[in-house]
Amino acid sequence: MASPARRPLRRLSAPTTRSSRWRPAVPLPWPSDKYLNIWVCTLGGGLLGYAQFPGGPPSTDGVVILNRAFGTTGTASDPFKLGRTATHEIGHWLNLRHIWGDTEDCTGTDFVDDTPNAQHPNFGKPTFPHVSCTNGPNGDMFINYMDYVDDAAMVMFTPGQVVRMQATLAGPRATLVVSAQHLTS
Amino acid sequence: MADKIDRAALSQRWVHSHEEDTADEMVFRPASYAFPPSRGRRSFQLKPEGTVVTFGPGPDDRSVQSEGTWQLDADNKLILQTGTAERAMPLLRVEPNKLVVKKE
Repeated sequence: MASPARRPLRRLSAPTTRSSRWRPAVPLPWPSDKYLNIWVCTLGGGLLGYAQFPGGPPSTDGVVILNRAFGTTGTASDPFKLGRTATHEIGHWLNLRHIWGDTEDCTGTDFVDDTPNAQHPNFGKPTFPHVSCTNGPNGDMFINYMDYVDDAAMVMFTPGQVVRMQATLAGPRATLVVSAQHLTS
Repeated sequence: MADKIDRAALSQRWVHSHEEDTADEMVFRPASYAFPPSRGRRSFQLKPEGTVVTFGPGPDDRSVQSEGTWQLDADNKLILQTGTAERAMPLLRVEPNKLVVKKE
C-alpha cells in the first residue's frame, strides 16, 4: 500500500518523551482501519513472525516479521528469504487459519473446504506425499502458504482460502478497501 | 525392557528441534540451545514435582501455553496431561542436551 506523504516514515520511530525515555522503542501503528501495519524487528526465540486476526485491538493490529525473514534482500537469509513469512502472516491478518486446524489430533479445522485436514504442521521441504488424518493419497497440502514449511516449499492459496480472504476484505476489513481507493484516485 | 529413564534428567524445558527429526524420531533440545528461526516450535517444561507447562504456536503464531501434570510410566512413556488433553510420548533416550522421542 502506498505511503501517504502526510504520514512520513519517520513516524515508525517511537516518539521520545521524558516518561518513556527508558522504555524500548515501540513503533506506533498507523490507523488500522486504513492501513496494514507491518512491524519488522528482532523477535525472541527465533520466531519468524506473528499476526493479529480481524477484530483485535487497533493498537496491535497488523503483522510482525523477523528482520532476518523479511523480503528477499538485505538481512533476509535462507531458508526464509523469499518473503513468505509476510505472505503467511498477512494470511492470518485476512483471517486464514493453519491448514492443520491448530490441533494435533485431526479434530481441528481451518474453516476452508478445499484444504485437506492435516494432523501437524510440516517443516522444511517435505517429501510428497505426507499422509495424515486419512487425507491420502495426496496427503497434507504442505505447499500451502498456511503451513510451516520453508519459503521455497510454499507456493499457493486455494480458491477456498481466497474466498475467505475476500470475505474479510468485504467485511471486517472493508474500510481498508475504501481507503486504498481514495489513495489511488 | 529398556533401561528406566531418570526423572531428574527430564526436569527442564524441552523444545522441539524439528530440523533434527527423522522418519521415526522426534528430537527435543533444552531451551538454551541455539535454535535457528522457525515459524513455531512446541515445547514443554517438566518440573520436578510433576507439573508441566506446554507451549506451542497458536492460531496466529503467537505462543500459547497450558499447565498440567506429567508422569513417566514403566515403559518410559512420558504422559502430559493438560486439561482434557493427554499426550503420550515414548522416550527412546535422554542425554544432557538431547531428548529423543519415538514417533507414533
